[in-house]
Amino acid sequence: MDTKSKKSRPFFSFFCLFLGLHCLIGCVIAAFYVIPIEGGWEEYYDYATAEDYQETARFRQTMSSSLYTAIQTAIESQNQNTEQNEGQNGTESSSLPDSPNLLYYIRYESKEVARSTAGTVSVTEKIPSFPEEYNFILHFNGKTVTAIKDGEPVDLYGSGYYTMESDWELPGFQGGESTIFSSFPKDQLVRCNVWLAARKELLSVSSYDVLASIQSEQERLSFAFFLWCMVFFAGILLLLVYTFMRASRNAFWQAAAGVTAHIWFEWKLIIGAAFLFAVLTGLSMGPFVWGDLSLWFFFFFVNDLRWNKGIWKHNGPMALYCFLERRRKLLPFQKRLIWYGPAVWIGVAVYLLLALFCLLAFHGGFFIPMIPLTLLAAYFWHRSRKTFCVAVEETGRLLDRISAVSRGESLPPLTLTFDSDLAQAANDLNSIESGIREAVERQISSERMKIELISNVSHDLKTPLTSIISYVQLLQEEELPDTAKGYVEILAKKAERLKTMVQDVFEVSKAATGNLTMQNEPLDLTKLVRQTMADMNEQIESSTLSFRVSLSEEAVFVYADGQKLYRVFQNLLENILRYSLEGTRVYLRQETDFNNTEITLRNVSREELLDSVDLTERFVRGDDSRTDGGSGLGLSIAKSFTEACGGSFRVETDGDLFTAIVSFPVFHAPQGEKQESEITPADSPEKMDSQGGPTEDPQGISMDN
Amino acid sequence: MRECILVADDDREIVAAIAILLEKEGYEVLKAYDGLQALELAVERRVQLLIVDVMMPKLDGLSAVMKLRERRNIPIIVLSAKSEDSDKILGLSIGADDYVTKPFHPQELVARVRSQLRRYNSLGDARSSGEKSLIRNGRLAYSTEERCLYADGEPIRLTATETGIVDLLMRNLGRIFPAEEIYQRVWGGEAYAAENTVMVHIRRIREKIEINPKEPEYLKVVWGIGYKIEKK
Repeated sequence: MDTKSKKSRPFFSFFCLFLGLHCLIGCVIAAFYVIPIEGGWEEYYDYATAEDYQETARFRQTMSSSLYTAIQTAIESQNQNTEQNEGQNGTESSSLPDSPNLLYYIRYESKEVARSTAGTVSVTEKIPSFPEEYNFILHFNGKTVTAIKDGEPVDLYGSGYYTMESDWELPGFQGGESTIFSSFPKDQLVRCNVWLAARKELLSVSSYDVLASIQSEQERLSFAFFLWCMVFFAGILLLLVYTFMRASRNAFWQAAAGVTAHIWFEWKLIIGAAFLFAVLTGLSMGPFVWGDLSLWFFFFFVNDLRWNKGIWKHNGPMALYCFLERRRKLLPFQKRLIWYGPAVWIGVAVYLLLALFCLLAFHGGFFIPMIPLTLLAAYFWHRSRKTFCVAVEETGRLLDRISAVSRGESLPPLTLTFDSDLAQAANDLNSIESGIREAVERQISSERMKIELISNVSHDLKTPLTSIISYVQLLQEEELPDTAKGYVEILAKKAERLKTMVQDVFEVSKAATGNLTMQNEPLDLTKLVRQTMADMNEQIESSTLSFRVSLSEEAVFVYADGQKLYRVFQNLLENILRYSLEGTRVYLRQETDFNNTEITLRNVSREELLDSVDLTERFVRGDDSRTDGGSGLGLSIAKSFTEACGGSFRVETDGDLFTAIVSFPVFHAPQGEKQESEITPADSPEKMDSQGGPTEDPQGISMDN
Repeated sequence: MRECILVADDDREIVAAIAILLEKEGYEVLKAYDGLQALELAVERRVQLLIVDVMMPKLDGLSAVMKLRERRNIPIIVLSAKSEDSDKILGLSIGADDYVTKPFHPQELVARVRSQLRRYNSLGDARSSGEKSLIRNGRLAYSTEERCLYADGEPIRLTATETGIVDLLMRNLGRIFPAEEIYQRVWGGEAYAAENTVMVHIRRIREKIEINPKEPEYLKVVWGIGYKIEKK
């Protein structure tokens, strides 16, 4: 229901406007053409609004004419008497109608001529008296007229001079010749004595009754006046309603504009011209109908102009153009582009043909139609050029976009103009791009889930492990039998290994998912290897292996994270110590050229190495029994950390010979910039008593073995 | 008077184990199993040190530390299964004094507790604060006059060579020295196999001054560059 009422609101607002405007128009027309009666608006207003019919001009006129008739009756009766004496039968005498509303008593000299039969007129001493209901009494005494209304005398003469505006047309005005009474002979007039009495409450006798007709007309007119006012105010009210229904009214006009937008502009012009013509010439339906229709046409036309931007674009030629464009759009891209050529040629041909026609048809004045034609041609030329430029520009954008997509750049979707020839291609490209982006995002989120899983799992592993280690420690401090002590010792060792493994798993997972936090800085790779070996010196010394080390004499700088790189070599050396055949030699060699440095570690494996196994895979070990102390992650960690530092790591096996190769690009410090760590001056103000200064060239501190 | 330590972790077994170890060392131990309980106890009772786990119900450890820091200035050791550097930095920056990652060695924890308490109690030590020649750095203090290193206020017995290395590094806190330079300055001769020699001594010093020599906090190797004592 609600939506329905909302839908009908715009129409209601228009209905208000329509009805309101017509009400007002009707009122105006009525005011100018129908209502005005003689006497004009003022009299009409008096007439329509007077409460007492005796106050109206019509009453005064009626009384005046009744008096005239009465006098005429009196004079005629006298004349008849004379004529009767002469034996002549006169024409029908005029007489006052018998009406219970208007009583009369007419005397000529002292002889009664006539009296009303409809009411009781009692005459005493030749002066009539009327019943009480008759409140207006007019008396003509032969010279002047006196009137008494409700016992009060009424001023009949005003200034005393008769003018055209005077309602009372009576004998007895100064210069009395001006009234109709001047037609009576003066000597007869002075002998007349007339009494007229008007009833206060009129009785409805017949519609022809002199006074009753006044009242009925008055009623009719006041009803008409009331109606007029009602219509007028209704019109105003409706227009106000329309004015205040702002939203609905806009909705209506917008909807109307939506409908009118589909009409070609030519039609609108033709209809407009027709209306103009009709109004100017006043066709048979009359000016009001035409005026009204043109008014509404004007409304809708202006509304169309207001809402439909560029309404002139919707016209016949444009429709033809659109139709052709649509047909063209259905063609494959290649044919579509080829269309441009013939289109221009056809245009040129049409122009030339028209020019020829003009030349032949108009001779000397051919340039007059040629001017708009040429302008039109120039316009189309400009348009087609623009279309061509746009097509070229959009092709460029599309190509740029394709290369951007291939570079993996993330840009907002490519938008070409809606009707562009390349729009379909752009849409396809956009969907490819969003597809790629979605895939990447899905991958990223799955990676993130993996990392969260790893960190949660490692947390869940670490907490019980903490308890195990703590209680093993407590057990170790207890007094236990020797066998039990041995068991606890094993527990302690295995718990320790588990701890290392959990940490390693965590690290390698982080490295595998690319989530290591790196702190890269320039560092001396040679020195790092020496430091690592020094760090593990005890294990190396205690092993049966002998190391053959050949490292670069010079410092070789690489850009890497020292802590991670230390782990790489630590893992490699531990691997060697763990898996080498006893008593064999281990070769550690560094080879450096300008761009790269490569450290090779070679050892002889205790177990047989299988070619098919990638030893850098996680949890893969040389032996399948997995009984040694490693976590199986050593090489995997070495590989991922090396790669995270920007180096490359590979493993080669040749029979029992195991080779691990770590290579890095050499870092060349920018000219004039020395390594920060080496040139930092001592914090302490007092210098140490040393031979060398605190700052030293990194080249100068190489080792000599 | 026995020092009172509050241990808070939602894992009751871990709390029990830590409590046993600490009681063996002669401390009084209070136990809490969630953040709110820990906070209440730490505020109400005379607790001298707080060991708190990060992941706890009701109120997590870091929030508890932040709230406690508004009222008490006792040493706080944070336990956590998170071993990332960023987690450590976060823990220390909100007011913890030490950060121990799980799984830890009970002995290491006890050593850290001892260290923290000693530093806390000897903070107003007139001997150490008055001397000009004393270089203070976290747990460590080095007297240049006596050529003696203190860890948690206790003098450390060092050999002459070790003292030479410590002297060089403590006077230049945070500066990185290549092995060759250390060798030249301490031994006073041409460097031969400096890396190994220096490393041996560094390891020995570490064992004397570090709580966990495998994860040194002060005497560090800067891989590929040299050695330094971290400035705290």
